[in-house]
Amino acid sequence: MGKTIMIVEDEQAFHDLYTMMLEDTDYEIIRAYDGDEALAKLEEKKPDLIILDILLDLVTGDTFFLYIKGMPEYADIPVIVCSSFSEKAYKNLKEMDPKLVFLEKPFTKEQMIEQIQAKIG
Amino acid sequence: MRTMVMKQTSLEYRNPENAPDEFEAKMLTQFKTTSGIEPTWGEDVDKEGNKTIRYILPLYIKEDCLPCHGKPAYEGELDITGYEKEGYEIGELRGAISIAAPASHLDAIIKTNSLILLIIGVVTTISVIFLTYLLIRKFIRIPLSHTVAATKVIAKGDLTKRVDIKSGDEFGELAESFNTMAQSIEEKTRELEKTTHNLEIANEELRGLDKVKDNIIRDVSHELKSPLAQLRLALELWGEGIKDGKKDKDKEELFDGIIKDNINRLNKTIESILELTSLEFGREDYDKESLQLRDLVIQVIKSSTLLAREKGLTIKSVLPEKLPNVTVDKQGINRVVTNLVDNAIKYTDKGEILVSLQQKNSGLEFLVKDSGIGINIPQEHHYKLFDRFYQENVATPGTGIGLSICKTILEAHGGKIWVESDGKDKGTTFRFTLPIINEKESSVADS
Ligand SMILES: Nc1ncnc2c1ncn2[C@@H]1O[C@H](COP(=O)(O)OP(=O)(O)OP(=O)(O)O)[C@@H](O)[C@H]1O
Ligand SMILES: [Mg+2]
Repeated sequence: MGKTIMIVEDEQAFHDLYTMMLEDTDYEIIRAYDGDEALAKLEEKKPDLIILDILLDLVTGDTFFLYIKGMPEYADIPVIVCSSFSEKAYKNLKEMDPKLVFLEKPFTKEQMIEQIQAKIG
Repeated sequence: MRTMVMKQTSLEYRNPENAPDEFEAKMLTQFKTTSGIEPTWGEDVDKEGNKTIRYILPLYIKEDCLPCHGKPAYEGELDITGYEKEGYEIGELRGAISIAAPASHLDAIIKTNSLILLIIGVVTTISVIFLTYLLIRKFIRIPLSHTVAATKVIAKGDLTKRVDIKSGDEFGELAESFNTMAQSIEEKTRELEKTTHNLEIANEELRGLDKVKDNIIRDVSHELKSPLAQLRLALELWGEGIKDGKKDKDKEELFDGIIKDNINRLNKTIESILELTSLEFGREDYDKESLQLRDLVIQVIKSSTLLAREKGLTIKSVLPEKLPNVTVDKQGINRVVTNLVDNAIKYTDKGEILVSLQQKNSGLEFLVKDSGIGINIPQEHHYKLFDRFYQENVATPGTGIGLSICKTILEAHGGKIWVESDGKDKGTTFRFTLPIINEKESSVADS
Protein backbone atom coordinates (compact mmCIF):
# COMPACT_ATOMS: atom_id res chain seq x y z
CA MET A 1 0.00 0.00 0.00
CA GLY A 2 1.29 3.48 -0.88
CA LYS A 3 2.37 5.83 1.83
CA THR A 4 0.57 9.07 2.54
CA ILE A 5 2.06 12.54 2.23
CA MET A 6 0.33 15.63 3.55
CA ILE A 7 1.23 18.83 1.72
CA VAL A 8 0.53 22.06 3.57
CA GLU A 9 0.96 24.95 1.19
CA ASP A 10 -1.08 28.08 0.54
CA GLU A 11 -0.31 28.63 -3.13
CA GLN A 12 -2.35 26.67 -5.65
CA ALA A 13 0.50 26.69 -8.16
CA PHE A 14 2.74 24.84 -5.73
CA HIS A 15 0.03 22.23 -5.16
CA ASP A 16 -0.27 21.72 -8.91
CA LEU A 17 3.48 21.36 -9.24
CA TYR A 18 3.72 18.90 -6.36
CA THR A 19 0.93 16.82 -7.88
CA MET A 20 2.77 16.58 -11.18
CA MET A 21 6.05 15.93 -9.42
CA LEU A 22 4.61 12.95 -7.58
CA GLU A 23 2.23 11.58 -10.21
CA ASP A 24 4.52 8.70 -11.18
CA THR A 25 4.82 7.52 -7.58
CA ASP A 26 2.18 5.68 -5.61
CA TYR A 27 2.12 8.06 -2.68
CA GLU A 28 -1.30 9.17 -1.60
CA ILE A 29 -1.47 12.95 -1.32
CA ILE A 30 -3.51 14.96 1.17
CA ARG A 31 -3.69 18.66 0.38
CA ALA A 32 -4.14 21.44 2.91
CA TYR A 33 -4.09 25.15 2.16
CA ASP A 34 -3.48 26.45 5.66
CA GLY A 35 -2.55 25.31 9.14
CA ASP A 36 -6.18 25.08 10.25
CA GLU A 37 -7.17 22.78 7.41
CA ALA A 38 -4.03 20.71 7.98
CA LEU A 39 -4.95 20.17 11.63
CA ALA A 40 -8.46 19.06 10.68
CA LYS A 41 -7.12 16.62 8.07
CA LEU A 42 -4.56 15.23 10.49
CA GLU A 43 -7.42 13.99 12.62
CA GLU A 44 -9.02 12.18 9.68
CA LYS A 45 -5.88 10.33 8.68
CA LYS A 46 -2.34 10.27 9.98
CA PRO A 47 0.13 10.83 7.11
CA ASP A 48 3.57 9.20 6.89
CA LEU A 49 5.21 12.49 5.98
CA ILE A 50 4.36 16.19 6.04
CA ILE A 51 5.68 18.74 3.55
CA LEU A 52 5.20 22.14 5.08
CA ASP A 53 5.50 25.61 3.66
CA ILE A 54 6.55 27.72 6.58
CA LEU A 55 4.93 30.99 5.50
CA LEU A 56 1.24 30.35 5.86
CA ASP A 57 -1.58 32.67 6.77
CA LEU A 58 -3.43 32.50 10.10
CA VAL A 59 -2.02 29.38 11.72
CA THR A 60 1.48 29.79 10.33
CA GLY A 61 3.78 26.94 9.36
CA ASP A 62 5.93 27.23 12.45
CA THR A 63 2.91 27.31 14.77
CA PHE A 64 1.57 24.22 13.06
CA PHE A 65 4.96 22.55 13.36
CA LEU A 66 5.29 23.31 17.06
CA TYR A 67 1.76 22.05 17.57
CA ILE A 68 2.28 18.62 16.00
CA LYS A 69 5.67 18.17 17.64
CA GLY A 70 3.95 18.77 20.96
CA MET A 71 1.31 16.06 20.35
CA PRO A 72 2.51 12.56 21.24
CA GLU A 73 0.46 10.91 18.49
CA TYR A 74 1.87 13.15 15.73
CA ALA A 75 5.35 13.97 17.02
CA ASP A 76 6.93 11.08 15.14
CA ILE A 77 5.72 12.14 11.66
CA PRO A 78 8.76 13.29 9.68
CA VAL A 79 8.51 16.85 8.34
CA ILE A 80 10.12 18.55 5.36
CA VAL A 81 9.98 22.32 5.67
CA CYS A 82 10.10 24.47 2.51
CA SER A 83 11.05 28.06 2.94
CA SER A 84 12.51 31.05 1.14
CA PHE A 85 14.96 31.46 3.96
CA SER A 86 17.89 29.37 4.91
CA GLU A 87 17.90 26.91 7.71
CA LYS A 88 19.51 29.41 10.06
CA ALA A 89 16.30 31.38 10.29
CA TYR A 90 14.62 28.42 11.96
CA LYS A 91 17.13 27.25 14.51
CA ASN A 92 14.42 26.83 17.13
CA LEU A 93 12.46 24.37 14.99
CA LYS A 94 15.55 22.30 14.41
CA GLU A 95 16.11 22.21 18.16
CA MET A 96 12.65 20.71 18.63
CA ASP A 97 13.18 18.10 15.98
CA PRO A 98 16.78 17.39 14.99
CA LYS A 99 15.60 15.17 12.13
CA LEU A 100 13.71 18.04 10.53
CA VAL A 101 14.69 18.58 6.88
CA PHE A 102 14.89 22.03 5.30
CA LEU A 103 14.57 22.72 1.62
CA GLU A 104 15.35 26.26 0.66
CA LYS A 105 13.39 27.67 -2.28
CA PRO A 106 14.00 27.39 -5.14
CA PHE A 107 14.56 23.63 -4.97
CA THR A 108 14.53 21.01 -7.74
CA LYS A 109 12.28 18.00 -8.15
CA GLU A 110 15.27 15.77 -7.57
CA GLN A 111 16.07 17.39 -4.24
CA MET A 112 12.49 17.02 -3.10
CA ILE A 113 12.14 13.38 -4.21
CA GLU A 114 15.47 12.54 -2.61
CA GLN A 115 14.31 13.91 0.72
CA ILE A 116 10.96 12.16 0.51
CA GLN A 117 12.62 8.85 -0.25
CA ALA A 118 15.15 9.30 2.52
CA LYS A 119 12.27 9.76 4.92
CA ILE A 120 9.70 7.20 3.84
CA GLY A 121 11.21 5.23 0.96
CA MET B 1 9.59 10.85 -40.85
CA ARG B 2 8.50 8.89 -37.81
CA THR B 3 11.01 6.06 -37.72
CA MET B 4 14.61 5.35 -38.51
CA VAL B 5 15.43 4.27 -42.09
CA MET B 6 18.54 2.31 -43.02
CA LYS B 7 19.53 1.43 -46.56
CA GLN B 8 22.39 0.68 -48.90
CA THR B 9 23.08 3.17 -51.61
CA SER B 10 25.48 3.73 -54.43
CA LEU B 11 26.11 6.12 -57.31
CA GLU B 12 26.19 3.07 -59.57
CA TYR B 13 23.19 1.34 -58.05
CA ARG B 14 21.93 -1.90 -59.49
CA ASN B 15 18.62 -1.99 -57.65
CA PRO B 16 16.56 1.23 -58.20
CA GLU B 17 15.56 1.15 -54.55
CA ASN B 18 19.14 1.89 -53.69
CA ALA B 19 19.26 5.12 -55.68
CA PRO B 20 20.88 7.86 -53.54
CA ASP B 21 18.95 10.90 -52.37
CA GLU B 22 20.47 14.37 -52.46
CA PHE B 23 22.37 14.06 -49.18
CA GLU B 24 23.64 10.58 -50.06
CA ALA B 25 24.69 11.53 -53.55
CA LYS B 26 26.66 14.49 -52.21
CA MET B 27 28.43 12.35 -49.64
CA LEU B 28 29.09 9.53 -52.10
CA THR B 29 30.77 11.95 -54.48
CA GLN B 30 32.97 13.15 -51.62
CA PHE B 31 33.80 9.60 -50.61
CA LYS B 32 34.72 8.81 -54.18
CA THR B 33 36.99 11.77 -54.82
CA THR B 34 38.76 11.71 -51.45
CA SER B 35 39.43 8.24 -50.17
CA GLY B 36 39.67 7.35 -46.50
CA ILE B 37 36.91 9.66 -45.23
CA GLU B 38 35.42 8.57 -41.91
CA PRO B 39 31.70 7.76 -41.52
CA THR B 40 29.89 11.06 -41.43
CA TRP B 41 27.05 12.65 -39.45
CA GLY B 42 24.82 15.22 -41.02
CA GLU B 43 21.54 17.08 -40.73
CA ASP B 44 18.85 17.08 -43.36
CA VAL B 45 15.17 17.81 -43.90
CA ASP B 46 12.82 15.11 -45.13
CA LYS B 47 9.93 15.36 -47.59
CA GLU B 48 7.50 16.44 -44.85
CA GLY B 49 9.92 19.14 -43.81
CA ASN B 50 10.94 17.43 -40.55
CA LYS B 51 14.51 17.74 -39.39
CA THR B 52 16.39 14.44 -39.59
CA ILE B 53 19.75 13.21 -38.42
CA ARG B 54 21.82 11.45 -41.11
CA TYR B 55 24.66 8.97 -40.79
CA ILE B 56 26.53 7.60 -43.76
CA LEU B 57 29.25 4.98 -43.79
CA PRO B 58 31.32 4.48 -47.00
CA LEU B 59 31.84 0.94 -48.32
CA TYR B 60 35.12 0.40 -50.13
CA ILE B 61 35.74 -2.78 -52.10
CA LYS B 62 37.66 -5.42 -50.16
CA GLU B 63 38.96 -8.86 -51.08
CA ASP B 64 35.70 -10.60 -50.18
CA CYS B 65 33.55 -8.25 -52.30
CA LEU B 66 35.25 -9.37 -55.46
CA PRO B 67 33.18 -12.57 -56.10
CA CYS B 68 30.12 -10.35 -56.72
CA HIS B 69 31.59 -6.98 -57.73
CA GLY B 70 34.99 -7.92 -59.19
CA LYS B 71 36.20 -8.41 -62.75
CA PRO B 72 33.87 -10.72 -64.72
CA ALA B 73 35.58 -13.85 -66.08
CA TYR B 74 33.72 -13.19 -69.34
CA GLU B 75 31.47 -10.42 -70.70
CA GLY B 76 28.16 -10.46 -68.83
CA GLU B 77 29.12 -12.93 -66.04
CA LEU B 78 26.39 -12.89 -63.34
CA ASP B 79 27.06 -13.01 -59.59
CA ILE B 80 25.06 -15.24 -57.22
CA THR B 81 22.39 -12.55 -56.75
CA GLY B 82 21.78 -12.48 -60.48
CA TYR B 83 23.38 -9.08 -61.21
CA GLU B 84 26.20 -8.58 -63.70
CA LYS B 85 29.64 -8.29 -62.10
CA GLU B 86 30.88 -4.71 -62.51
CA GLY B 87 34.65 -5.09 -62.50
CA TYR B 88 35.60 -3.11 -59.32
CA GLU B 89 39.12 -3.24 -57.94
CA ILE B 90 40.15 -3.36 -54.28
CA GLY B 91 39.95 0.08 -52.62
CA GLU B 92 37.40 1.55 -55.01
CA LEU B 93 34.18 3.05 -53.60
CA ARG B 94 31.27 0.71 -54.07
CA GLY B 95 28.59 2.60 -52.18
CA ALA B 96 27.55 3.38 -48.67
CA ILE B 97 25.24 2.44 -45.82
CA SER B 98 22.98 5.29 -44.98
CA ILE B 99 20.84 5.85 -41.89
CA ALA B 100 18.26 8.57 -41.46
CA ALA B 101 16.56 9.15 -38.11
CA PRO B 102 14.00 11.74 -36.95
CA ALA B 103 15.61 14.59 -35.01
CA SER B 104 12.60 15.46 -32.89
CA HIS B 105 13.88 13.64 -29.84
CA LEU B 106 17.28 15.22 -30.10
CA ASP B 107 15.70 18.59 -30.61
CA ALA B 108 13.72 18.16 -27.44
CA ILE B 109 16.87 17.42 -25.50
CA ILE B 110 18.60 20.43 -26.97
CA LYS B 111 15.66 22.61 -26.12
CA THR B 112 15.49 21.32 -22.59
CA ASN B 113 19.15 22.03 -22.14
CA SER B 114 18.80 25.53 -23.40
CA LEU B 115 15.87 25.99 -21.05
CA ILE B 116 18.02 24.99 -18.14
CA LEU B 117 20.62 27.49 -19.28
CA LEU B 118 17.84 30.00 -19.50
CA ILE B 119 16.78 29.38 -15.93
CA ILE B 120 20.31 29.72 -14.73
CA GLY B 121 20.49 32.98 -16.65
CA VAL B 122 17.31 34.31 -15.15
CA VAL B 123 18.25 33.22 -11.67
CA THR B 124 21.65 34.85 -12.00
CA THR B 125 20.22 38.04 -13.39
CA ILE B 126 17.73 38.31 -10.61
CA SER B 127 20.37 37.51 -8.05
CA VAL B 128 22.53 40.25 -9.52
CA ILE B 129 19.70 42.74 -9.24
CA PHE B 130 18.92 41.62 -5.76
CA LEU B 131 22.55 41.74 -4.77
CA THR B 132 22.99 45.14 -6.30
CA TYR B 133 20.00 46.25 -4.35
CA LEU B 134 21.33 44.78 -1.14
CA LEU B 135 24.68 46.35 -1.80
CA ILE B 136 23.16 49.76 -2.33
CA ARG B 137 21.29 49.42 0.93
CA LYS B 138 23.81 47.63 3.01
CA PHE B 139 26.94 49.51 2.18
CA ILE B 140 25.43 52.91 2.49
CA ARG B 141 27.19 53.52 5.73
CA ILE B 142 30.53 52.21 4.55
CA PRO B 143 32.75 54.76 2.78
CA LEU B 144 31.31 55.64 -0.55
CA SER B 145 34.25 54.57 -2.65
CA HIS B 146 33.67 51.09 -1.39
CA THR B 147 30.06 51.02 -2.55
CA VAL B 148 30.77 52.47 -5.92
CA ALA B 149 33.58 50.01 -6.54
CA ALA B 150 31.42 47.05 -5.59
CA THR B 151 28.45 48.07 -7.68
CA LYS B 152 30.68 48.74 -10.63
CA VAL B 153 31.91 45.18 -10.53
CA ILE B 154 28.36 43.92 -10.57
CA ALA B 155 27.39 46.33 -13.28
CA LYS B 156 30.03 44.69 -15.46
CA GLY B 157 27.86 41.54 -15.55
CA ASP B 158 26.78 41.10 -19.13
CA LEU B 159 23.03 41.45 -19.18
CA THR B 160 22.77 41.72 -22.92
CA LYS B 161 22.46 37.98 -23.56
CA ARG B 162 19.28 36.84 -25.28
CA VAL B 163 17.88 33.48 -26.03
CA ASP B 164 17.67 32.58 -29.68
CA ILE B 165 14.72 30.27 -30.10
CA LYS B 166 12.48 31.26 -32.94
CA SER B 167 10.48 28.07 -33.24
CA GLY B 168 7.05 29.70 -33.10
CA ASP B 169 5.70 27.00 -30.73
CA GLU B 170 5.30 27.14 -26.97
CA PHE B 171 9.04 27.25 -26.63
CA GLY B 172 9.31 30.18 -28.92
CA GLU B 173 6.71 31.95 -26.85
CA LEU B 174 8.44 31.03 -23.66
CA ALA B 175 11.76 32.17 -24.97
CA GLU B 176 10.14 35.36 -26.07
CA SER B 177 8.64 36.05 -22.70
CA PHE B 178 12.01 35.35 -21.16
CA ASN B 179 13.64 37.70 -23.60
CA THR B 180 11.11 40.34 -22.74
CA MET B 181 11.85 39.80 -19.11
CA ALA B 182 15.58 39.77 -19.68
CA GLN B 183 15.20 43.00 -21.53
CA SER B 184 13.13 44.61 -18.85
CA ILE B 185 15.58 43.35 -16.26
CA GLU B 186 18.36 44.79 -18.32
CA GLU B 187 16.63 48.12 -18.58
CA LYS B 188 15.93 48.05 -14.91
CA THR B 189 19.47 47.16 -14.12
CA ARG B 190 20.58 50.11 -16.18
CA GLU B 191 18.31 52.25 -14.08
CA LEU B 192 19.86 50.71 -11.01
CA GLU B 193 23.27 51.54 -12.36
CA LYS B 194 22.24 55.12 -12.85
CA THR B 195 20.85 55.09 -9.35
CA THR B 196 24.13 53.78 -8.13
CA HIS B 197 25.91 56.53 -9.95
CA ASN B 198 23.74 59.02 -8.15
CA LEU B 199 25.19 57.70 -4.93
CA GLU B 200 28.26 59.73 -5.64
CA ILE B 201 26.27 62.91 -6.01
CA ALA B 202 23.80 62.23 -3.23
CA ASN B 203 26.41 61.11 -0.76
CA GLU B 204 25.24 63.35 2.05
CA GLU B 205 21.56 62.48 1.81
CA LEU B 206 22.42 58.86 1.68
CA ARG B 207 24.03 58.99 5.05
CA GLY B 208 20.67 60.00 6.39
CA LEU B 209 18.88 56.86 5.24
CA ASP B 210 17.85 54.33 7.84
CA LYS B 211 19.67 51.16 8.50
CA VAL B 212 18.75 47.92 6.79
CA LYS B 213 16.29 45.91 8.73
CA ASP B 214 16.45 42.17 8.82
CA ASN B 215 12.81 41.77 7.91
CA ILE B 216 13.27 43.86 4.79
CA ILE B 217 15.63 41.27 3.42
CA ARG B 218 13.28 38.57 4.69
CA ASP B 219 10.20 39.85 2.93
CA VAL B 220 11.94 40.75 -0.29
CA SER B 221 13.68 37.44 -0.45
CA HIS B 222 10.37 35.64 -0.03
CA GLU B 223 8.80 37.74 -2.76
CA LEU B 224 11.65 36.83 -5.11
CA LYS B 225 12.30 33.24 -4.18
CA SER B 226 8.78 31.90 -4.07
CA PRO B 227 8.05 32.78 -7.71
CA LEU B 228 11.51 31.60 -8.66
CA ALA B 229 10.84 28.26 -7.04
CA GLN B 230 7.64 27.88 -9.02
CA LEU B 231 9.31 28.93 -12.25
CA ARG B 232 12.12 26.49 -11.75
CA LEU B 233 9.88 23.53 -10.96
CA ALA B 234 7.48 24.30 -13.78
CA LEU B 235 10.30 24.50 -16.30
CA GLU B 236 11.93 21.37 -14.94
CA LEU B 237 8.73 19.33 -15.11
CA TRP B 238 7.83 20.71 -18.49
CA GLY B 239 11.27 19.86 -19.82
CA GLU B 240 10.94 16.36 -18.47
CA GLY B 241 7.58 15.85 -20.15
CA ILE B 242 9.06 16.94 -23.45
CA LYS B 243 12.04 14.62 -23.09
CA ASP B 244 9.68 11.72 -22.50
CA GLY B 245 7.84 12.73 -25.64
CA LYS B 246 4.56 13.20 -23.76
CA LYS B 247 2.26 15.84 -25.06
CA ASP B 248 -0.39 16.99 -22.62
CA LYS B 249 -2.28 20.15 -23.52
CA ASP B 250 -3.76 20.64 -20.06
CA LYS B 251 -0.40 20.43 -18.39
CA GLU B 252 1.16 22.74 -20.90
CA GLU B 253 -1.50 25.31 -20.19
CA LEU B 254 -0.90 24.92 -16.50
CA PHE B 255 2.85 25.35 -16.92
CA ASP B 256 2.35 28.27 -19.22
CA GLY B 257 0.04 29.92 -16.69
CA ILE B 258 2.39 29.33 -13.78
CA ILE B 259 5.34 30.68 -15.72
CA LYS B 260 3.54 33.79 -16.93
CA ASP B 261 2.10 34.56 -13.48
CA ASN B 262 5.44 34.25 -11.82
CA ILE B 263 7.26 36.32 -14.37
CA ASN B 264 4.69 39.03 -13.78
CA ARG B 265 5.08 38.66 -10.06
CA LEU B 266 8.85 38.95 -10.27
CA ASN B 267 8.58 41.92 -12.57
CA LYS B 268 6.20 43.64 -10.20
CA THR B 269 8.52 43.13 -7.29
CA ILE B 270 11.54 44.36 -9.17
CA GLU B 271 9.60 47.33 -10.43
CA SER B 272 8.41 48.23 -6.95
CA ILE B 273 11.89 48.00 -5.53
CA LEU B 274 13.27 50.17 -8.29
CA GLU B 275 10.48 52.66 -8.06
CA LEU B 276 10.99 53.07 -4.36
CA THR B 277 14.74 53.33 -4.74
CA SER B 278 14.40 56.05 -7.30
CA LEU B 279 11.81 57.88 -5.19
CA GLU B 280 14.12 57.76 -2.24
CA PHE B 281 17.09 58.96 -4.11
CA GLY B 282 15.04 61.88 -5.29
CA ARG B 283 15.28 60.92 -8.91
CA GLU B 284 11.56 61.15 -9.45
CA ASP B 285 10.80 64.47 -11.06
CA TYR B 286 7.48 65.90 -10.03
CA ASP B 287 5.64 67.66 -12.77
CA LYS B 288 3.07 69.73 -10.94
CA GLU B 289 -0.11 71.06 -12.48
CA SER B 290 -3.33 72.53 -11.14
CA LEU B 291 -6.22 70.07 -11.29
CA GLN B 292 -9.49 68.85 -9.83
CA LEU B 293 -8.65 66.02 -7.48
CA ARG B 294 -12.22 64.80 -7.99
CA ASP B 295 -11.58 63.97 -11.65
CA LEU B 296 -8.50 62.01 -10.80
CA VAL B 297 -10.29 60.05 -8.08
CA ILE B 298 -13.18 59.21 -10.44
CA GLN B 299 -10.68 57.85 -12.95
CA VAL B 300 -9.08 55.60 -10.34
CA ILE B 301 -12.45 54.31 -9.12
CA LYS B 302 -13.46 53.53 -12.68
CA SER B 303 -10.41 51.42 -13.29
CA SER B 304 -10.75 49.61 -9.96
CA THR B 305 -14.43 48.77 -10.28
CA LEU B 306 -13.84 45.54 -12.12
CA LEU B 307 -11.42 44.28 -9.50
CA ALA B 308 -13.89 45.16 -6.75
CA ARG B 309 -16.78 43.51 -8.55
CA GLU B 310 -14.78 40.31 -8.94
CA LYS B 311 -14.58 40.16 -5.17
CA GLY B 312 -18.25 41.05 -4.76
CA LEU B 313 -17.45 44.48 -3.30
CA THR B 314 -19.13 47.78 -4.10
CA ILE B 315 -17.33 51.11 -4.21
CA LYS B 316 -19.34 54.12 -3.02
CA SER B 317 -18.12 57.64 -3.44
CA VAL B 318 -18.93 61.06 -2.03
CA LEU B 319 -17.16 63.57 -4.24
CA PRO B 320 -18.44 67.18 -4.03
CA GLU B 321 -18.23 69.06 -7.30
CA LYS B 322 -17.10 72.52 -6.33
CA LEU B 323 -13.80 71.90 -4.59
CA PRO B 324 -10.75 74.08 -5.20
CA ASN B 325 -7.96 72.81 -7.45
CA VAL B 326 -4.78 71.33 -6.07
CA THR B 327 -1.36 71.72 -7.64
CA VAL B 328 0.12 68.26 -7.87
CA ASP B 329 2.02 65.81 -9.97
CA LYS B 330 -0.84 63.98 -11.65
CA GLN B 331 0.95 60.68 -12.06
CA GLY B 332 2.24 60.66 -8.51
CA ILE B 333 -1.10 61.41 -6.88
CA ASN B 334 -2.79 58.95 -9.19
CA ARG B 335 -0.37 56.38 -7.88
CA VAL B 336 -1.24 57.30 -4.28
CA VAL B 337 -5.00 57.04 -4.78
CA THR B 338 -4.63 53.82 -6.76
CA ASN B 339 -2.48 52.19 -4.08
CA LEU B 340 -4.97 53.09 -1.37
CA VAL B 341 -8.02 51.90 -3.30
CA ASP B 342 -6.21 48.71 -4.35
CA ASN B 343 -5.30 48.01 -0.75
CA ALA B 344 -8.88 48.55 0.38
CA ILE B 345 -10.03 45.97 -2.19
CA LYS B 346 -7.16 43.60 -1.46
CA TYR B 347 -7.73 43.55 2.29
CA THR B 348 -11.54 43.35 2.20
CA ASP B 349 -13.57 40.22 1.51
CA LYS B 350 -17.08 41.53 1.85
CA GLY B 351 -19.02 44.73 2.25
CA GLU B 352 -18.30 48.08 0.72
CA ILE B 353 -15.59 50.60 0.19
CA LEU B 354 -16.25 54.29 0.65
CA VAL B 355 -14.19 56.93 -1.10
CA SER B 356 -14.69 60.60 -0.28
CA LEU B 357 -13.20 64.06 -0.68
CA GLN B 358 -13.83 67.12 1.41
CA GLN B 359 -12.32 70.52 2.09
CA LYS B 360 -10.67 70.97 5.48
CA ASN B 361 -9.18 74.37 6.35
CA SER B 362 -6.51 75.06 3.76
CA GLY B 363 -6.41 71.58 2.33
CA LEU B 364 -8.36 68.77 0.72
CA GLU B 365 -8.85 65.55 2.63
CA PHE B 366 -9.17 62.25 0.81
CA LEU B 367 -10.61 59.23 2.59
CA VAL B 368 -10.94 55.55 1.72
CA LYS B 369 -12.78 53.40 4.23
CA ASP B 370 -13.19 49.66 3.95
CA SER B 371 -14.99 46.92 5.86
CA GLY B 372 -12.09 44.51 5.68
CA ILE B 373 -9.56 42.74 7.89
CA GLY B 374 -8.62 45.87 9.82
CA ILE B 375 -5.29 46.59 11.47
CA ASN B 376 -4.19 44.15 14.12
CA ILE B 377 -1.23 45.99 15.58
CA PRO B 378 -1.70 48.63 18.31
CA GLN B 379 -2.16 52.22 17.25
CA GLU B 380 1.28 53.36 18.37
CA HIS B 381 2.75 50.96 15.81
CA HIS B 382 0.54 52.08 12.92
CA TYR B 383 3.38 54.17 11.47
CA LYS B 384 5.11 50.89 10.58
CA LEU B 385 2.58 50.25 7.81
CA PHE B 386 4.20 53.13 5.93
CA ASP B 387 7.66 51.63 6.28
CA ARG B 388 9.20 50.01 3.26
CA PHE B 389 8.48 46.30 2.98
CA TYR B 390 6.39 46.19 6.12
CA GLN B 391 3.48 43.77 5.91
CA GLU B 392 1.41 42.66 8.86
CA ASN B 393 1.48 39.23 7.35
CA VAL B 394 4.57 38.22 5.42
CA ALA B 395 2.60 35.67 3.41
CA THR B 396 0.31 38.25 1.73
CA PRO B 397 1.13 38.78 -1.91
CA GLY B 398 2.85 42.04 -2.74
CA THR B 399 6.00 43.61 -1.45
CA GLY B 400 4.75 45.91 1.28
CA ILE B 401 5.90 49.09 -0.34
CA GLY B 402 2.63 50.52 -1.70
CA LEU B 403 2.06 52.65 1.38
CA SER B 404 5.65 53.83 1.67
CA ILE B 405 5.43 55.04 -1.92
CA CYS B 406 2.23 56.93 -0.98
CA LYS B 407 3.95 58.52 1.97
CA THR B 408 7.02 59.60 0.02
CA ILE B 409 4.94 61.18 -2.74
CA LEU B 410 2.55 62.94 -0.38
CA GLU B 411 5.34 64.37 1.71
CA ALA B 412 6.94 65.77 -1.41
CA HIS B 413 3.63 67.64 -1.93
CA GLY B 414 3.45 69.00 1.59
CA GLY B 415 0.71 66.48 2.43
CA LYS B 416 0.16 63.95 5.19
CA ILE B 417 -1.18 60.38 5.36
CA TRP B 418 -2.47 58.35 8.31
CA VAL B 419 -4.57 55.32 9.14
CA GLU B 420 -7.37 54.49 11.58
CA SER B 421 -8.77 51.11 12.54
CA ASP B 422 -10.68 49.70 15.48
CA GLY B 423 -8.73 46.47 15.21
CA LYS B 424 -8.88 43.05 13.61
CA ASP B 425 -11.85 42.58 11.24
CA LYS B 426 -13.18 46.04 12.09
CA GLY B 427 -12.26 47.68 8.77
CA THR B 428 -9.66 50.31 8.00
CA THR B 429 -9.69 53.98 7.02
CA PHE B 430 -6.82 55.69 5.26
CA ARG B 431 -6.78 59.48 4.92
CA PHE B 432 -4.48 61.95 3.31
CA THR B 433 -4.43 65.71 2.94
CA LEU B 434 -3.05 67.94 0.22
CA PRO B 435 -2.63 71.69 0.62
CA ILE B 436 -4.73 74.01 -1.55
CA ILE B 437 -2.58 76.68 -3.09
CA ASN B 438 -4.76 79.61 -4.29
CA GLU B 439 -4.26 81.15 -7.72
CA LYS B 440 -2.24 84.10 -6.47
CA GLU B 441 0.11 82.05 -4.34
CA SER B 442 0.61 79.46 -7.01
CA SER B 443 1.52 82.07 -9.62
CA VAL B 444 3.96 83.54 -7.14
CA ALA B 445 5.34 80.07 -6.52
CA ASP B 446 5.65 79.48 -10.26
CA SER B 447 7.65 82.61 -10.85
N1 LIG C 1 -6.92 48.54 3.65
C1 LIG C 1 -6.14 47.81 4.46
N2 LIG C 1 -6.68 47.00 5.41
C2 LIG C 1 -5.91 46.27 6.23
N3 LIG C 1 -4.56 46.26 6.19
C3 LIG C 1 -3.96 47.05 5.27
C4 LIG C 1 -4.70 47.85 4.36
N4 LIG C 1 -3.83 48.51 3.57
C5 LIG C 1 -2.60 48.11 3.96
N5 LIG C 1 -2.66 47.25 4.98
C6 LIG C 1 -1.54 46.62 5.68
O1 LIG C 1 -0.39 47.39 5.45
C7 LIG C 1 0.62 46.60 4.82
C8 LIG C 1 1.42 47.43 3.86
O2 LIG C 1 0.62 47.82 2.76
P1 LIG C 1 1.32 48.16 1.39
O3 LIG C 1 0.30 48.64 0.44
O4 LIG C 1 2.47 49.05 1.69
O5 LIG C 1 1.92 46.76 0.92
P2 LIG C 1 1.18 45.48 0.34
O6 LIG C 1 -0.22 45.79 -0.02
O7 LIG C 1 1.40 44.38 1.31
O8 LIG C 1 2.05 45.15 -0.95
P3 LIG C 1 2.19 46.08 -2.28
O9 LIG C 1 3.62 46.50 -2.27
O10 LIG C 1 1.88 45.17 -3.39
O11 LIG C 1 1.24 47.21 -2.15
C9 LIG C 1 -0.14 45.47 4.17
O12 LIG C 1 0.65 44.33 3.99
C10 LIG C 1 -1.26 45.22 5.16
O13 LIG C 1 -0.79 44.44 6.22
MG1 LIG D 1 -0.58 47.44 -1.29
